[in-house]
Amino acid sequence: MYLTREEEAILSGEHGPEYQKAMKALVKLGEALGAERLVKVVHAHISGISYQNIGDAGLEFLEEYSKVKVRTYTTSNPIGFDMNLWREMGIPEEFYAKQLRVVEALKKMGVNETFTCTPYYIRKPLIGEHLAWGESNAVLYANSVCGARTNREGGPSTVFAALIGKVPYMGVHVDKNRRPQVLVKVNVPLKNQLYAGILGYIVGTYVKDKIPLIRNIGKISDDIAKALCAGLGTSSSTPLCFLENISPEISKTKIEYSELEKIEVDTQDFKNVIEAYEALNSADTVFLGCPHLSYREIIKVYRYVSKYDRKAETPIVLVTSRKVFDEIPLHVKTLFKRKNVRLIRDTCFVVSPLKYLGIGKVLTNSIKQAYYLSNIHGVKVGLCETRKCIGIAFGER
Amino acid sequence: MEFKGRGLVEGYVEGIALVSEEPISFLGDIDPETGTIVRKDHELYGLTIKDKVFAFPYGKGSTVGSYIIYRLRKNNVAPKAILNVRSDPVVIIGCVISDIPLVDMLPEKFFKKIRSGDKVIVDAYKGVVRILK
Repeated sequence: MYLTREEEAILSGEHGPEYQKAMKALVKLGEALGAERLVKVVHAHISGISYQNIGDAGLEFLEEYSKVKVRTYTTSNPIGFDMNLWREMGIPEEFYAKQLRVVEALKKMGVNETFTCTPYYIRKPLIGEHLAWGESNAVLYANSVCGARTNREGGPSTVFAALIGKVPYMGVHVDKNRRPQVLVKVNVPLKNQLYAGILGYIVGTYVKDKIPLIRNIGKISDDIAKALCAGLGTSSSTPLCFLENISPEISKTKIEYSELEKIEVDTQDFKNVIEAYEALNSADTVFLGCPHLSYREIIKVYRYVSKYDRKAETPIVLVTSRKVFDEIPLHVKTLFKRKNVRLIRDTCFVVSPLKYLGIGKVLTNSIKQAYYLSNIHGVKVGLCETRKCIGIAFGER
Repeated sequence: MEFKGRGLVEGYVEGIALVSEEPISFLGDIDPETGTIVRKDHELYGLTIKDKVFAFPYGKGSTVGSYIIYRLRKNNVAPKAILNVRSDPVVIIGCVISDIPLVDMLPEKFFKKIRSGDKVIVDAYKGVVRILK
């Protein structure tokens, strides 16, 4: 691999052992996977920081590297609880203390404490920008909706990319690897987050690591595109999909339609996915916010719950980033409290120690959340669209 | 018998091989405190990778696996070297940060020949592995 003089110096240890290791990891990765050089990134997003997931192994690692600072703008994924509500959430002291050490290590490194899976709401990437992002929904959103460039980095590689401020120039950083391979025709209107997520999930099951071009989806909002990306990231390892009317690169990409594999997605495919989960008409909790809710999505929930003159029988948990949380007007937060709607931040059920929270039956509009809750945490999950989730919380059957 | 692969993380070690036919997910398959293989349906269930030359086709699963490899090293229960058909990013990063010699792209016949219990010499500077029988 070609290295600049400065990169060589880092590799030979002139910047200390931490940077040396970080550089070595990137170079070895690049060499193994055929990169010719490194490329600068404008934004790294570190995933894998919940103590629930990384345990003492990850904690020790992050503490060792916290002696040095990141060299690019860096944000961080959700942690195991809301920093302000951990006691109320029933998080044990020991878990809290360990998670806090992870947070302190990141702070020392100079990582922004964003604790969200939606770094694109913190800093929206521009077309053509190189990034080093972990978190599959964010990677897909950055590549597919924003037209920026990032491979699907893993937790440790995002740390190294942040420390060096570079990644190996390979995968979807390179023009020629940003071409669709599978043409997907959707024969069902994408009316809401639930359907968009499931479409992504179905497509992902089929394409695995190939890049799909999804057509016939009409003009979908960024929120719907976000749900689609999250579903696709759940069942595939592809970092990029082309979404008709959304992806900025489509018009500039030369597409040989006749050479693409073709699939169609029909109503029955959607039904099959929904029916694989429970048919719940009650739950311990209604969960909305996978990926973390946007401002618009929260206001939409506000409008729905305002229509009820009583409080929800089942708590409705809304999860978002602390940035969006701070933007939500006070009257909205006050109404949420009255209606048994809990707006929390920094976390998500998938990365929190659920066994302490005593949640066994969840309703959600997110296939990603449903998939991980049932597979990792053994929780019973039902899938419904947002309005129906809220209706059930208010006792409508 | 000598086999040529690609040295990804440098080092020179001699040790006893432990061979898994299945791919390994360090998160979930290996106990980071003891180095024991803890996945119940794994062919090597109950054995330890500590101080072994650990051969498996490739890594899979969560990228937290790199941290598990790092923890194995901290706990002094890491393998002496890792041999793969094809190393994935989880194993590459795990070995770099833990200074565990890593060789991949070994020929198919290497994996047919090598058995758990064989004595091997790994020269990861040159990417060469010798089985002493």
